[in-house]
Amino acid sequence: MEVAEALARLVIDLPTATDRDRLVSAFRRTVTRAPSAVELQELTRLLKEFRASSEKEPQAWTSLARVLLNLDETTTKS
Amino acid sequence: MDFIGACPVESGRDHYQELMSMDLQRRAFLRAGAAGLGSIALQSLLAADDSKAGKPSPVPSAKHIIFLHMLGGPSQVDLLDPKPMLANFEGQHMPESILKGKQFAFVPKGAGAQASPYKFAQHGDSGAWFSELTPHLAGCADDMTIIRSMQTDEFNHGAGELFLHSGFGRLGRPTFGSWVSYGLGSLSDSLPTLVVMATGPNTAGNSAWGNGFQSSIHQGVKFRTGEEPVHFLANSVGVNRDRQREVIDGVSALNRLAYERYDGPGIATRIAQYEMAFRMQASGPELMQIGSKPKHVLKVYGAKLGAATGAAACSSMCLLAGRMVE
Repeated sequence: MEVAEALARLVIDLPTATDRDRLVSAFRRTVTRAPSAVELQELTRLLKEFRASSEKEPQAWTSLARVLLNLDETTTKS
Repeated sequence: MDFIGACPVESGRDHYQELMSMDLQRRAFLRAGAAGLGSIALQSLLAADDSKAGKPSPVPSAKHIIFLHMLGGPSQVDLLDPKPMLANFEGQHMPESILKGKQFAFVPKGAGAQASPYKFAQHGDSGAWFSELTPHLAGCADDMTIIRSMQTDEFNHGAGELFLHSGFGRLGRPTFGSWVSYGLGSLSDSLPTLVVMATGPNTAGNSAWGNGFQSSIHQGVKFRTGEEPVHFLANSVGVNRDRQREVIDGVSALNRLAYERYDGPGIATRIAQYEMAFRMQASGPELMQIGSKPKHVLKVYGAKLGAATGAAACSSMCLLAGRMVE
């Protein structure tokens, strides 16, 4: 959980402003590759969902970070 | 390989792109070779009702199995399988006719025979034989079936345990529990089909409840001994069940995308296990509390709350197994 919160803070604090840049950065940090177009679509949708159900911005990004940290590709050696 | 061209942004990082495309080519090759068998596995794993649990023939009547694997007990010759003729060989070398062609570990050449020092008697209507070592077990003679015809050529611990659990003295085969899971499925969707609890290590390791060549969903799931059989069942601070659901859905959605590309059966198992974990968060806390059993029951079992090793832990595990089966 602490790792997810740290990843969320890191991504929020990026100097670039767009959500897309933040999503790609978070994805690359966990999965070590850029997301495909379909994956980026999915990530954008997830972020929207988390924002709707979270009280604050850091909470939404923490949920997103938790998703990324739990992906099979993140936790499994290829 | 449509996804190579679809990688967005991050232009100017040529080396990175090159590495990535090599990796994706390798995975695409592996995927083509898998002949799509993985998707069949995924479909059956995620099916809402487990059709494997319906109507095998003949229809089994047992609904649960609690398998007690107890290492290091006395010989069957001292417990359940009287061999009165051993007395004729007491102190003498075992005859060549018996030893010829067999291999033993830890038995020196020319070792002498030893009859059992314990008295045997028949019990119950069945007349089953028990030694004086297990009077309580003997009292349950008519509730048991004793199989004394099991044999093996394995002469060492690890291979022997593997043989007991999987039918083969070498690694790589499914085990008793995983076959039950595969063949009969599960009656509960809030507990893993095969739960394993252990007070210590065994010589076959985790392979004793492994899935071998079956889908990894059939492997045993090991709970911990002691206070908390399953850690982290409760959600973290600030995470309610709905948000937990959203996170798990997000993980599954992205895993599914990866699964479609890489066809990895391990991914399918992981998706299913995350679902199971989510359900256990609801059923788990109440289930794990053997403390809710009345004190006299705990006493009869010799169970001790929070015990992690030894006889008390074994008893606690038995109680917990009973509770899960309920």
